[in-house]
Amino acid sequence: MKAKMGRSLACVALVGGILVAMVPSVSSAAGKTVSDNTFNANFSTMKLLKPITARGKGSIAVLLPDTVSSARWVHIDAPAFKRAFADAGLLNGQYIVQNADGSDKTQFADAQSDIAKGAKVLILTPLDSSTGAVIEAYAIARGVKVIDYDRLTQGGARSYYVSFNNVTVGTLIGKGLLACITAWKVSAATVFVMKGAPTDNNATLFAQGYDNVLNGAGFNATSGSANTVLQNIGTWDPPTALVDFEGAYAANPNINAVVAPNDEIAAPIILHLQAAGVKPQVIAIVGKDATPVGIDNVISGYQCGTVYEPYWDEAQAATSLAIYLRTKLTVPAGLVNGSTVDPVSTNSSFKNVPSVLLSPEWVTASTVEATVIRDKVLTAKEVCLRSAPTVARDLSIPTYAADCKTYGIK
Amino acid sequence: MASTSAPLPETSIVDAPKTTLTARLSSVVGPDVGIIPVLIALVALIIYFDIRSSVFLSADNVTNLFIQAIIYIFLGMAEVWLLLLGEIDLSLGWVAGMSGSIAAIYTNIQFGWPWWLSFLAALVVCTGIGGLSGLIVVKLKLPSFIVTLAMSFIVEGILLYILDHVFEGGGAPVQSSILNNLTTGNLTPTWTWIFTIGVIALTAAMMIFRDRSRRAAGLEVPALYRMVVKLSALSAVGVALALLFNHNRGSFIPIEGMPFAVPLVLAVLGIYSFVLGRTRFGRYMYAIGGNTEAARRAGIPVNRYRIYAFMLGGFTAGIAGLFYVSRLGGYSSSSTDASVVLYAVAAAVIGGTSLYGGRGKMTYPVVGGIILAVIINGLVLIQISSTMVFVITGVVLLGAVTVDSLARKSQSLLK
Repeated sequence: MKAKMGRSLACVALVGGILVAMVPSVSSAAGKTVSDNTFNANFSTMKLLKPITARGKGSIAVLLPDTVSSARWVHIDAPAFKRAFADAGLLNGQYIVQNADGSDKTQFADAQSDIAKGAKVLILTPLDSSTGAVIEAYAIARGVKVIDYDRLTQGGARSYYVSFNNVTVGTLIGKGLLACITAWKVSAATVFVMKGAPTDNNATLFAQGYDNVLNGAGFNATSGSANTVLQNIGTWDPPTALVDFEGAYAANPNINAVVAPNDEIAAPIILHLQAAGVKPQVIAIVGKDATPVGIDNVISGYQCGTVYEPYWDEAQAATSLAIYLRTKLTVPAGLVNGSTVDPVSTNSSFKNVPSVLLSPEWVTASTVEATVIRDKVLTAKEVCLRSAPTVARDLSIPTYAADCKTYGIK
Repeated sequence: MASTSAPLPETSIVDAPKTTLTARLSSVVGPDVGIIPVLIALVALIIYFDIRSSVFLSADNVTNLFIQAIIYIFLGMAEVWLLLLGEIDLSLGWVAGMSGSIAAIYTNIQFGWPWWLSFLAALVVCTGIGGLSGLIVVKLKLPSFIVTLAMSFIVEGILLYILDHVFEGGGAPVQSSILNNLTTGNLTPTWTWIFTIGVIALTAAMMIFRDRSRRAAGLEVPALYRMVVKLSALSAVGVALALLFNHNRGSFIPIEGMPFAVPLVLAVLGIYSFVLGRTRFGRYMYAIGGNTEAARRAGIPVNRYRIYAFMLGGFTAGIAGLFYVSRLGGYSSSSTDASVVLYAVAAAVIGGTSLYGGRGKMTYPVVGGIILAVIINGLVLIQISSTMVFVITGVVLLGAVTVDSLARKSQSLLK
């Protein structure tokens, strides 16, 4: 009898021991496979999070800022988040993606109602730091964790910051302009430097990047000079930016290079110049975001290039962090790759923010196929089948279909 | 002699004692006396900006200015249809966006409609939206402020949904060269002169004809020097503009000639002014705006005309939208339109339209729109923060309304 009991006890101990030994390897195996460089355009690594999702509680709410500052929030981030959540195993009622349409009040009200409905993690892109900080304080007080998405809330109380290295984005823009000025042989370059809205911390960081590059190349992007014209106040609003450009161009007709803060602002400016009879590869303009209009302008020789940021990787990174934050598990070290300093914060627990900083790419006409098309962001059909607007009185300007052939876009 | 509704016949102005400055001024321009301070303000602003910036009156900048003014001018004209009746339509900014988007969407390669069909579709939809607002106001007897405010949210939501889903990547780019040419096309220099001289000649002919017909009807005729002053001012401005437009303003290729947009604006202005001033439809509008109850008792179908006014407002906003989308090269959720309708009302009122109804002409929003564009354009050139545009626009609007009100009070008007 005792021997039998002893044998069964030993069996139980053996099996139990094996099971216990397996547990840490299960969780660390999942941590090892999702890290900051395993995200891709197919979202294939999201399903590895399913076991983590199963152990979490509460829903996740994504609060996007507006539709004006970039086309990405509506066309890339929102669908990317929904796909990432679904692929990671969250059910329909366990996540919500909202856009505040440019209104602080709406963003705050959305956050409050999401928390009331059971959100345990907020992924927030603040419209400005003051309301963003208020939202984060409200969330923390109710035990809800916040991830700053793409824009840092200065003075906020968030656990993580996911973004592209925004100063790098600006540096790419600046370097792209200089490369273009050389390649297109723009002589006696006079640059008009524009910026995004001053309430957007990212706009300030982009400007930091390209201002540095320009200052180092003989321009004066800090206070203006004979070869550098500055925009009065930055804006993300294309009609306002167009009026600013028209005024600057009327006052300084020798402007032959423009730093536009994104493609949607570059587009009407390019249109204005085309109406004035500007041929391709004459005036160097740069942009950001790799929108369809931007890519068309790039391949037709009116825009030097654009910054391509794989936003879906950003969304997947934020999703992964959020899924971990929903549980009591620790976030694996491989998921975080840096730290950002909040310049305004006086609270030591929120001063240095663990961050996931992804790398942007500069796209020119010859690399469109290898980046934007390969990653299925845009289809060749969208890019090539649009017809180019008529450049004043010159019917020999090729349509985008011909440009696509030139650069092998299919 | 004097009727209970505006506009006041010119004879009573001539009869007024010629002792005050206002009365003397009014003997020159008639019931339009309120527009003089506005014109003086416009000239003052132009002179100020010309002093501060050597580029302000350059051919390139003046052309830009006119194109920038177009949205305010057309939307202002749209609002005048409603302001004349004491109503307002707050949805017209989004209606204009809807029109531009529809035109851009249907001329896109994917649909490939001919330009006139797309434009027609856009205008029909906008007239319909206006009509719907009017129907709700009339049938449910709700204030137009609230109905059109609600409609502006509805149209905004529908428009943003359409823009986000109709094409991959969102937005509706302009791909029709006709749509593009609305704001970038120009008349040739020859045609610019033909057009300018034609307009001056036509105005002169109309004035003389009106003079003759008043004489024939036995009515008192205003002094001849009045017509001479008006015509000389018009000719001076017309010739100056023609010279300016014909000056080569291109830096890459020669660009000369009056932008297409100017004759188009004048054509719409002419047609609308004719309807308001010379047809029964127009007289009914003024009557209803001046005294709705009296108009109703006189047998005017007030409700029906109110709906017509809303439809005309929507239609004109549709025209505005076509120009707006042409200038921007497309429409997307990045092109916001929330405040442009308020600028439109400001343009109409700065020019002298009354918010209470019964007083206004289609030339008022043209002048008001140009003043707004001058302010915005000028401030950019002299590098003053764009936030000052709001302050200065507000001050100008307040000043215009005050001066206009004071100027008209000194006439013996029945309110």
